[in-house]
Amino acid sequence: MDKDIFLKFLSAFELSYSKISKILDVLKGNFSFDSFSLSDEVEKILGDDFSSIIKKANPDFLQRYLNRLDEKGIKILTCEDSNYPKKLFRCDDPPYYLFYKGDINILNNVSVSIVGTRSPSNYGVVITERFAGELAQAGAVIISGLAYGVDSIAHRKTLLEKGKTVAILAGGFDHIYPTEHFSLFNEISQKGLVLSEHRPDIKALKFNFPQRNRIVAALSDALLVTEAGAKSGTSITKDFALDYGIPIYAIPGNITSPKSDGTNRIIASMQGTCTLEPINIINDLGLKKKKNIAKQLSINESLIVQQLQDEPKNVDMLVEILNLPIANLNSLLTSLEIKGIIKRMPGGFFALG
Amino acid sequence: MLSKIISYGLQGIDGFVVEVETDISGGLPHFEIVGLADTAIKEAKERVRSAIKNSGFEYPVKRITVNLAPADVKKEGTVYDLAMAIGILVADPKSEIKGLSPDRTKGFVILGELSLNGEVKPIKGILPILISARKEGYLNFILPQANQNEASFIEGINVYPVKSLLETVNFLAGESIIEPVITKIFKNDCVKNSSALDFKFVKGQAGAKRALEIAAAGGHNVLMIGPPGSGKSMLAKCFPSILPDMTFEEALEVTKIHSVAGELDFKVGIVEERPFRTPHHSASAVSLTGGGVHSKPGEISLAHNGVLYLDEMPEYSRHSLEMLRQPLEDGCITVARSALTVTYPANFTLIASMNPCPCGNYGAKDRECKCSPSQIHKYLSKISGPILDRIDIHVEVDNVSFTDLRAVTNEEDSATIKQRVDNARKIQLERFKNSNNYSNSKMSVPDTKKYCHLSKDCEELLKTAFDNLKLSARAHDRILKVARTIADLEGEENILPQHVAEAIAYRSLDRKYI
Repeated sequence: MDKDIFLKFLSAFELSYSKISKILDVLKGNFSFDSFSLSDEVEKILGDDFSSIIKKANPDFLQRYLNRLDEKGIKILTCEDSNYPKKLFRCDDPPYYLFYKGDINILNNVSVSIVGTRSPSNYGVVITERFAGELAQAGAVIISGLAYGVDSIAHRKTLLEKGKTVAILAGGFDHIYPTEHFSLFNEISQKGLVLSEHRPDIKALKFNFPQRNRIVAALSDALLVTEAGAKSGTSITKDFALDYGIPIYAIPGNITSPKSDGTNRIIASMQGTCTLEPINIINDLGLKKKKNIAKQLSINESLIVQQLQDEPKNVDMLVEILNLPIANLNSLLTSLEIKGIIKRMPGGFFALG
Repeated sequence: MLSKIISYGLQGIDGFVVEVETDISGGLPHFEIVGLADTAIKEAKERVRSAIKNSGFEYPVKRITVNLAPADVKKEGTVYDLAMAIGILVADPKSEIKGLSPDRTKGFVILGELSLNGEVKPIKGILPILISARKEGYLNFILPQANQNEASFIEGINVYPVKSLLETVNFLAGESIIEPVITKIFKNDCVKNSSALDFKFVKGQAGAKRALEIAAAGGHNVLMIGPPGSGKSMLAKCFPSILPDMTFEEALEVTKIHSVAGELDFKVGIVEERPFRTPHHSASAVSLTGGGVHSKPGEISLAHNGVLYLDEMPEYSRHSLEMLRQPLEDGCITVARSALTVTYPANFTLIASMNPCPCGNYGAKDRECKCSPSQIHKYLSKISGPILDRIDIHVEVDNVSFTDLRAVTNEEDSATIKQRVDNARKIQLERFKNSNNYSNSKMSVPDTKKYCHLSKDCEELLKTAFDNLKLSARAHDRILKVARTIADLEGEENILPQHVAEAIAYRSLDRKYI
C-alpha cells in the first residue's frame, strides 16, 4: 500500500502526532494492513485502542471512510504534504492531519488571527469590524474560530470586504458549533478556508477548544485581541501565541469595563502591543494600506458622521443634537448604512463602520 | 293550545330566527324544553314559572312543551326566557288575560332574560340580533330596557323597551302603551381623546413615535424592541389616541362583537373608541382566537378595528402566537368545532413589544447585558419567521435619560399627529375606494405592484440595500408598503428614494441581530 493511502487510513482514528510517528517508525516502510495488525510493537503503541482499530484494518473500511469524506467534500492534508502549513510546527504537538474545505493555499499569505469575547459590547463590535475590515483590505488573511461575537464579526467583515478568511473548528465538520453559524461556515468554506484537526464525526467538546486555539495562534503572523474579558478562551490563545513567539496586539478599552479587562491586562503586563490604529499592524506585517475611495456625502450626512465620531448614538439622540425631522434622519441613516459608512448596532444605535 | 312567538338566537356574530312554540295539553304537570337547548335554557323552566307566578298570573298546572325551532341548531343563553313566558301565557286556554292573543304577539320579536320576580334583565348580543333581524324583515322588537341604548343605533325599526314581564303582557294586551326608542345618530366626538394618554406626555422617543405614526397611518403592525422601563407600554397605550375615528359602520361591527362577548357598556350602547386589547401573556390560544364551549369571540376579534397589544411577546406560548398568523393575513378568524363553525372578524393592528434578550439590556446605552449569545438567540427565535413576516415595522426603543425625562420640552400632542394620520388615511380611502381594502398594509400582491411603483432611483437604492444590508426576501413587500404609507403621510403621489430609505430603517430584525 502507498504510504499516502496508509496515512489516510490512520487519520480515521484520532491518533496523536507522536503515536503516528512511532507507528511509521515501527513499520519501516512496509505499509500493509497485515504488517500493521500483526505487529506486537504497534499493539504496544496503541494500547487499549488496538483491538478496535484492528477490526477496521481492511480495504472495505478504508474505501468507505474515504468515500464518505469525498461525499462531504472534505479533503485531508498530512504533515508530510508539501502544502501543509509549516507554521504549525511551532506547536509541540502539531496536528498530524488537517481536514479542510476550501482553498488551502491562502495559508501562504500573511495572516492575522483576530480573537476576543463571545459577547462584545458595542465598542467591541465597532473596533473589531474596523480592524478586520482594514486588515482584510490590506491583504491579510483573517483567521478566527467561527465562535459567537468577535470571531464571527471578524469573519463576516472580511467576507464583506472580499478578503480571505480562515475558520478553525473545534470539532469535526459534522458538528459545526455554534449551529447558528452554519451559513457563515458554508460561505467561508466557499470563499476562504475551514480547517479542523478532527475527523468529521468528532463533537466540539469543551476540551477541544483550547486545542483548537493553539492552531489559531500558530497559523498567524500576528494575534489581535480586540475585546476580551479577564478569564476566557482568548487568554489561552494569547498564551499559545506567547509560547510560539507570535506578536500580540491588543486594543485598549475602558478600564472600568469588565469586557476589556483581558485586553487591558495584556497591555499592562506588556505581553502585547497597545494598538490604536490598524495601520500599526499593517506596517509591522509589511503590508500596504489601501487608500479609501472618498465617498460623496451630503451636508446632513457628513453632520451625522461627525456626530458618530466619538461614540455610537441612537436616533433619539441624533434628533436632539441635529434638530433634523425624524423622517429625514431615518432615511439619511439608511443611505449612510447602505454606503457602508455607518453601521446599525443592537439597541438602535449607529456607529461608524 | 299552541302558541308561536318569534325570538332570536346567536351564531357567531350573526342572529338567526328562533320560533318558540309552546304547547299546553292535559296530563301530569310537566315542563319540557326541546330543540337542542343548553343548560342555561333548560334552567329557564324555573325562572319562567316563578316569574309568571310573581307577576300575578296563573301558571298552568298542565303538561307544557316548548320547542325551539329550528330544532337541530344548538341554542344557548337566556335570551328566550321572556318569549317562553309570553308563549305559555298565550297558549294557556284558561288564561284570564284579556287581549293577549296570538294575533297580538304576531310581528313582534321578543328577547330578554327573566328574573324570579318577573323583572326583565339585559342580554348579550342585541345589536347583531337586530341587524340580522332587520335584514330578515322583522321590524318590531320587545327587549330589555337595559339594552335600549344599544338598540337605539339601528334605523328603521321599532324597539319597545320593557322592564318586567307584567309590563310586557300589558303592552301586548293593549292595556298600556310603550314609546318606541328614538333612533340616535352616531357622532364621534373627539372629547374622549383628551384622556391622560397623549403623546405629549411621552418625553423623547422620537424614533418610536414616528414609527407609530406611520403604523397608524397605514395600519401596519409594529414590534417595539427595548430594555425594560424604556416606555414601550406607555407608547403603545398612547397609540389609539392617534388612530383615525371610527366610522359608524366600523363602530357597529365592533359593537356587534363586543355585544356578543358581553363586554358592552349598556349605558353607552355602542363602542365609540377603537378597542385596545391587552391580553396577558398567559392567555390561552382559545382565549385569543375565540371559540370554546360557548363560542365566544376571542381577544383578537375584540380588537377588531382597533389595537391588539402583546406586551413581552416572547413570553406568549408559541402555540398562541402561531394562531395569529392566519388572522393577521386574512383579517378574520374561522373557528371550526365539531358542533359549529363560526367566523369572527379580526382586523386589528398588532402592536407588540419585547426585550432584546432575557435580561433585557442587550444593546442598552448604560447597562450591561449578562446573557450569552446563545441565550439571546434562543430568546429572539421565539418569534418565528412567519410572525415576523407579518410585522411591517420593527423599532428599537432605548431608555430615556433622567435629564431628558425632566427636561421641559414641547412634545407634539396626539391631536396634531392624528391630523396627519387622518390625511394619509383619506388618500388611502380614495386609492382603495373600489375594493374592500382600506389601508396600505392590507394591499394584495397585485395592488402592491400597482400602487407601489418605484422609480429607477428607488429601485437602485432598494437593490443596494438588499445586497449590502443582507435583508431577507420577505422584507421586500413590507418595505414597499411602508414606503407607500410614508409617501402618503407627506402627500407625495410617487414613492421617493427617501421614503424607501426610511422604510428600510424599520427592518432591523431582518438583519443579523447578533
